[in-house]
Amino acid sequence: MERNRRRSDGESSSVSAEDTRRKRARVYFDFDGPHCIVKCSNAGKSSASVDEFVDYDNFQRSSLRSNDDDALRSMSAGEESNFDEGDDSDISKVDDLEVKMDLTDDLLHMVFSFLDHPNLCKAARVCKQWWTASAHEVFWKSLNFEDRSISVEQFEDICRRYPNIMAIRMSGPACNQLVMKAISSLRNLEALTLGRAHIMDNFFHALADCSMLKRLTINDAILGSGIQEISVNHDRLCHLQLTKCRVMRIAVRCPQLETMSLKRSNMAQTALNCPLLQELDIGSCHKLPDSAIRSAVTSCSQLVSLDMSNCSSVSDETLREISMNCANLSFLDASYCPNLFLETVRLPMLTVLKLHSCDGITAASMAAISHSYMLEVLELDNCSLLTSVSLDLPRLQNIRLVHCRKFADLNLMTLTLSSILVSNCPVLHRINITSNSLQKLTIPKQDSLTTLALQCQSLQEVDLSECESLNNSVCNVFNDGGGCPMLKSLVLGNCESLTSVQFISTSLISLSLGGCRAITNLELTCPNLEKVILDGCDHLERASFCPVGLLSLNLGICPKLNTLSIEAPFMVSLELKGCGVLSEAFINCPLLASLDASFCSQLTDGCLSATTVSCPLIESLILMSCSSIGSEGLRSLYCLPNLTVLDLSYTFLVNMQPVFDSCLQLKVLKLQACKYLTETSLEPLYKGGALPALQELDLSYGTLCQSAIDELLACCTNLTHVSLNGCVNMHDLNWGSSRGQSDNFPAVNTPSWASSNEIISESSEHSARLLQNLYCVGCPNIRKVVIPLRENCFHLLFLNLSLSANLKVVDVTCLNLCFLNLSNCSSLEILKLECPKLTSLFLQSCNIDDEAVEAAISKCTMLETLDVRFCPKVREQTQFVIFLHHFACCLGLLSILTI
Amino acid sequence: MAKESGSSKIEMLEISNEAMAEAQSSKIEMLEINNEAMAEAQSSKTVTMKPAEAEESKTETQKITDEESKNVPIAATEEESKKLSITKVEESKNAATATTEGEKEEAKVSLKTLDGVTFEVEAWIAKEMETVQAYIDDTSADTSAAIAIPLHNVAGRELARMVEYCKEHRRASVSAGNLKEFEERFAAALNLYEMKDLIIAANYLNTKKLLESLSRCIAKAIKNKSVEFVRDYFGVTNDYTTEEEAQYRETNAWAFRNVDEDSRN
Repeated sequence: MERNRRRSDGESSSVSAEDTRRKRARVYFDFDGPHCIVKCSNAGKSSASVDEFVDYDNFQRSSLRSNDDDALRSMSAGEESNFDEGDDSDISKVDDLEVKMDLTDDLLHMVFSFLDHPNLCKAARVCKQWWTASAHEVFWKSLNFEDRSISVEQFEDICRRYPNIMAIRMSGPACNQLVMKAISSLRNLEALTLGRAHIMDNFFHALADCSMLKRLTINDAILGSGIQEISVNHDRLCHLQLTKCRVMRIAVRCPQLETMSLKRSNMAQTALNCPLLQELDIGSCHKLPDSAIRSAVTSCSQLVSLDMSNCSSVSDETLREISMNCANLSFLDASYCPNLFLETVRLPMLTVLKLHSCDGITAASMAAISHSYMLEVLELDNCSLLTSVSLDLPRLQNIRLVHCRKFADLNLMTLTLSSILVSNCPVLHRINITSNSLQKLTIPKQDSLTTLALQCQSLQEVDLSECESLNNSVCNVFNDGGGCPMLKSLVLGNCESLTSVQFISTSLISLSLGGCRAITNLELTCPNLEKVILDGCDHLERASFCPVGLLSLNLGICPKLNTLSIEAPFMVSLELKGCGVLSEAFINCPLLASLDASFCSQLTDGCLSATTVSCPLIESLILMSCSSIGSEGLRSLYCLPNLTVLDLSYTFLVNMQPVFDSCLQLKVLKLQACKYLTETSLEPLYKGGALPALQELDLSYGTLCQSAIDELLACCTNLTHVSLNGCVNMHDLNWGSSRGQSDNFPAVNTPSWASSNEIISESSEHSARLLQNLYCVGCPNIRKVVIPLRENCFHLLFLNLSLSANLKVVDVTCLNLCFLNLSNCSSLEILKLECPKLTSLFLQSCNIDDEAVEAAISKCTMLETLDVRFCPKVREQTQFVIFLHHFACCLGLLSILTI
Repeated sequence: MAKESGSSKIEMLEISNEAMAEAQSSKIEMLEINNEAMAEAQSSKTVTMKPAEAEESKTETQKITDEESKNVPIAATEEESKKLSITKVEESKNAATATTEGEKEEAKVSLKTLDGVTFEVEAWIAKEMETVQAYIDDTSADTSAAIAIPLHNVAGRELARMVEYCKEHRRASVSAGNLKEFEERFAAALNLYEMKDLIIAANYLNTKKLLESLSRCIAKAIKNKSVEFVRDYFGVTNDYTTEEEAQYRETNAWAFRNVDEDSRN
């Protein structure tokens, strides 16, 4: 079926192909001028590509640019195809093939330009047209036969078909035979890469015949028979790499050679005749003697870069001779040369010097290095005998000192230094740096560092974490006038020897003193300071921030802080939680909006009064457990017109009248565990109309009597969040008492009962309650919760009565209740719910039976979560489980938790 | 077990309340106990609510998945029909306005397709089609504005896709990541026949960027695939004889080794 359809598509494509051919002929006739322009541009591009060495990826892209020219060639190639003549059927076949080639040859060419050689060979097997398209020369300029088993005949066939191959890579045992064929057949070869092979002498003899070769790379190979000298003679070779090769003697005579690498080759003798050589790499040539190195290097007078790392025979005499013959040497890597002392060597043009693990380098070597006044990069890693570095190099930019075990003193007079890496120098104790370009200094974990002197005009970031011997004098380095006028960020984390920190800086923005346990005195005069980290400063006693640019400050858990002075024009939030011995606090923050002074038991009324005067915009004030605050302090709150949140939990207040007089705009009042409040202390709330904007009230763990609580809930209709957790005097939540049920009130109190009844009736008639969230967690004396419909609890959403161990009756009719938590109410017997919008019901560990639960949730049509885990009476009933499944199917119960 | 923990919590609360009333010196410790008790109570609430929330989120995810699976084909179909209708309406409107307003005539180019649809495209889009641009350069400005350029071998559907590609390509060229994502999305929306027709049209109009993008997609489709698969994919007839094919395999055997079994053929 599909094949028939595709055949019909083929036929239609044939018809359209014919039209395309005619149209194309016309287009060529009409656009003769622009087409000539295209030809010229293609000619220019092709000539450019011949001069440059083009690798495979680049050539794939360039083939696209020469598409038009190749398309024309492809058409002409098609025309030149040989076909049998005579029969009419043959003639029709010829026409059909021509039509197909005209249609898609150029498209195939573009598609094939994205394929690699194996896929290209596979595409050639699809049909003869594809074979013709895949055989274009542009696809076969650069070949890679590494890890491919190709026979000599096959390779010969490829060389015959594509004589203009420019780059070949191959590896393996048959490499020598193949490369000999390549040299004899390919006259335009420019790049040759061989690997993991045994290269015979005849290859090097024939190398001169490959006249266009520019780059030769031989890696991991055996050269020659191992006895005779290997000669590389080539007039035009520019780049030569003989790495990891086994050869006894090697001689290179290449007049045009520019770069050469003999890395990790084990020859014992080398002779170079390369006058233009600029880069030489003889690293890890362990068997090369000193005399051979000298003769090889000194014969290249134009040398710029020399890598002689791991040449253990190199000595100062070698370098002296090299410096005399190679005047332009600017890059030297002499790492792992243990006989190098560098005491009398002069390398004036050197810019990069690497001396990793040179055990002979000592402080005396610095004199020689100082003569390299052009030096820009210096690496002295693992110089185990180096004790001090004292350099005055005007162009030094980068210096490394890693794992120098005896390094103790660093003295740099290098104005252009911009990068420094000092690490794992355990006895380093003195650093003196003068630089105009250094912006970042990171020297962590230098346990012995005691003295720091910096004259760095551009230094912005300093990190001295865990420099445990750093003392207080380091502060002078970073103060104004101390040598770092642009310093922005300073990290002194875990510097445990700091005891008194004083910073006077106009540029400092971020300061980190985390983990500095010994600090007792902190004085910051940094007007632009925005961030301070003081975690772990457990012994801080005196702190002064006058002035700072902080937006917020957290001095929490500074248990020994007793004197605090803050002058911060932009501070918004201040946290002093846990400063138990704080007695003197001067806070001048005109924009302060949030102050948390929890557990500041020594804070006095005078201090609070002064703070309220200087911080008039405070909105949130937390004075939890501030036992020294009295009426005088609370009366001063009238200076805070924006105060909306006040937390006086765990205080010993007996009278709330100053709060009611001073904070008319209060919205949140928290009085947790205020056990000394009198019975009448909250009467102004429900009788006098105090705090008209109050929305949230927290009386958890208080000692208020039942009547006060009832009055609050009845009269304060603006409350939306009420917390009564742990109120032992909370007996019943019976909001139906306004009509009958006077059993809870004895006859002796009849007059007060009557008056309260009238008030309740009056308020319910006027307005509905705004209560949304009610928390009565852990009230041991609650036995009954009755909320009838007529009480207008329209806004109640969240009711939490968990852990009320004596709760027996719950009868709730709230039209908007969403969440009801009765977990751990082990005495629950009666549960009546008329809450059509209830979504979550938690009855964990309730001693209630299945029938009661079934009756309770039958009217909760929007229930989504029902938690009846650990209910002993529910678990045993199989019929209840069946009911729950039925309930879930009918009403869409999404989550049911039963065990 | 749960009962014991519940009662222990209650006892803890009672003990803390009593202890606070007794001595002031141990206030901080009692406060910590209270805080811990409250934290435990809150954490117990959180623990009980977490499974519900997790299940609710899972259910919501399933709902979203179902909705997506149901609506996608209908929405896609509607979007395609809307695009086609909008394109036609816009073209007719543009054709009408082109005859009346002189400024737009200079900036717009009329293209007439094989099936008689006339497209009004921006000048820079016409410039991307080098065949069209060559035609414009070969004639004078006045005549090119008046007469629609006939494209005898390009259908309206292909030209609409090409115009869309040029617009989106220009918009997505701001960053390489967006461009690659756009090209992948554009190619994924085409089936084999549509891709063939589009690449032929792009070749005729010499839209180089689209041509390169489609060529790359086709090359990706046939890479590491068997020869028979490629023949079926392109509807190509094998005109090799058995001997010719065997000879080619022998000559180029080096390229077929180390190939996966699935793609070997």
